[in-house]
Amino acid sequence: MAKSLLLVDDSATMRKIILRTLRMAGLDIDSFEEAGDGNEALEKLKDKPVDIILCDINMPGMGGLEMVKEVRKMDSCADTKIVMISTESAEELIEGVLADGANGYVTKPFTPESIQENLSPFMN
Amino acid sequence: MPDTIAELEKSTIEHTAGAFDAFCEDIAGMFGVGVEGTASDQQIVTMKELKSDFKKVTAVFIIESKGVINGDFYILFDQDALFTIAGTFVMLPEKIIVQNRRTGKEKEANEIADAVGEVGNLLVGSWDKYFREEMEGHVHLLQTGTFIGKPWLKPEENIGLSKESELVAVKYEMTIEPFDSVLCMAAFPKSVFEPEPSEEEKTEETDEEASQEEEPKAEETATETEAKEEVVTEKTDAAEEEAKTEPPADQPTESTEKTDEEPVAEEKATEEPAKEEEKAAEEPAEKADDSEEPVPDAEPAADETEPETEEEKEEQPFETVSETETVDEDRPVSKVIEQMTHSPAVLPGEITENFLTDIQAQNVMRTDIAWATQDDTVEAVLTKMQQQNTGYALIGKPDAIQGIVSKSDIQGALSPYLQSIFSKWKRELDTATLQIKVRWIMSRPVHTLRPDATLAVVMETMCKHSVRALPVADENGACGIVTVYTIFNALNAARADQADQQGQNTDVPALS
Repeated sequence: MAKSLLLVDDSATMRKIILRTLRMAGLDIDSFEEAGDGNEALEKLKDKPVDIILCDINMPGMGGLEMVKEVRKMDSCADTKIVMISTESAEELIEGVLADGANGYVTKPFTPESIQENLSPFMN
Repeated sequence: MPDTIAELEKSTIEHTAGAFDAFCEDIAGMFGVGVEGTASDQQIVTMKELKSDFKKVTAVFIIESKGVINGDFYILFDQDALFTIAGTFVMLPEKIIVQNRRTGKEKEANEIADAVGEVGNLLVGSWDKYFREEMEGHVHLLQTGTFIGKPWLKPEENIGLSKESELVAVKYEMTIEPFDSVLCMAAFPKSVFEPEPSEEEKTEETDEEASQEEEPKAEETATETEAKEEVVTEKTDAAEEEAKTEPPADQPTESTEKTDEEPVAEEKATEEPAKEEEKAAEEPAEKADDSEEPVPDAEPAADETEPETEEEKEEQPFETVSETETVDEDRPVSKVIEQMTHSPAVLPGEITENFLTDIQAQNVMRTDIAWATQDDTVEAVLTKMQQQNTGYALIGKPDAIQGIVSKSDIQGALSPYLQSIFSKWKRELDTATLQIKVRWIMSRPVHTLRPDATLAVVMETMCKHSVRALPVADENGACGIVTVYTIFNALNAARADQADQQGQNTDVPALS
């Protein structure tokens, strides 16, 4: 079943790269929104909850870690899956983010295969 | 973990080649391009000497390291490298990348500053992963800044290093298909190999600094004067150097000189304008077209008529379908539905004559049209459609619709090997189908409806032309789009509303 997606990254280039990779991975996304930081993402989620959020960690304004905590407080996003995308690959950081409510973690640089592997559990 | 500074330096240099290789491998996997490279032997360079290797615009990624090596080090990409890799990231055509490699200046580099910053981001990601696996005691790497320009001019101001600073450097020659090789370099100040001071040593240093602050003011004034002199000398040096580097022909305008002298120091500073431009470019075309005067030909005709001559066909970009009856255009859907539901003889779910004649195109159309140009790639158009959650995009502008494209048209143009089920057989050519221009797959001519066309006319027109979507146009041009789904939704709403008024249940009973 097609899913809706919110992409949160402060770099427009990176958002484009991620979208292209999602397409190359063949994931069934029927609609998506983009946000440049956590605050913008929360505003969009208030209006329209999504199935999956793909979120960078280091962003100006509200970063990814804080955003995860805020999203988890929203009843309307109880079923939303959050997958973090970051260049940081420290195990403690990944464990911390998952404990805070994220459902997955993809390290940059990624490939269509690694994106597919990490997101396909949330596509059904 | 290496025991001495010399061993640590040697080990870091060895791992530098591996980290660059890891970046090549990651980029190849991420973008489906061939990337490989070779590292040269270690050398000691000063900032001043970098000019002979890098010559033109250079990207410097400032990276903070913690763990085995501590402090900032630098990765430099020459003009060819920055334009090739960043250009590949944003899928610039090969021709533009080649042109930028040859003649690009800071202006062109700053236009893709966001992409250059992301090159650094991914570079740090690859290096961090590699160091984590290969260097015991490594904690993290973090990209703290990106400089685009000529770092050997005012290095202190731009990247925090003096001209005479000695750096332990490793050159890396990288080849990204189908382009010629490019030059990269990792440069480590010697200080990063020195052991980090313990907490006690740090405290002592802080105390010393505090006591120095209490020194007499006379000395401070002398130091200030010296510093001022230093700045002046440096500025003169920089100006002289610039004059020597660039022949007069290369400096056609004052603004070019200014750009050279005031390079962008921080990634964030360059990122913002680029982002704004990107956002502006993504704004629907209709906004920009709002101010344009309506084309007289877009005036809706009273009846569906074919243009009589070839000339008329040229002038009238789309066929207009309408109903002659006069209807209040501002009347909301609910009012129409209210009117339709006053007959008690109508069964729930039954589509009555009233439905077909009272509902108009303007009541069932969606107004957030996804617009694209003929030269947009199918990937870009698909992105717009997904963003607006619509199955159709109009090509052109409101007063001149050139075509219409559906999600199915796009999916038909894309290689089936892009689907995950076939991904292991996917080739480069399959990915290239994302770059097909929409002009090749759009449908034309485009038939349009008038806002007051009744549902009966809408459905009849759809059947006549075998289409599932029709733009709606008034005297100002396209103002909405009617699709089979918007019709179904309107009919469903009308049916439910009618049943409510009659107190009947329209739910389908469950199978027992």
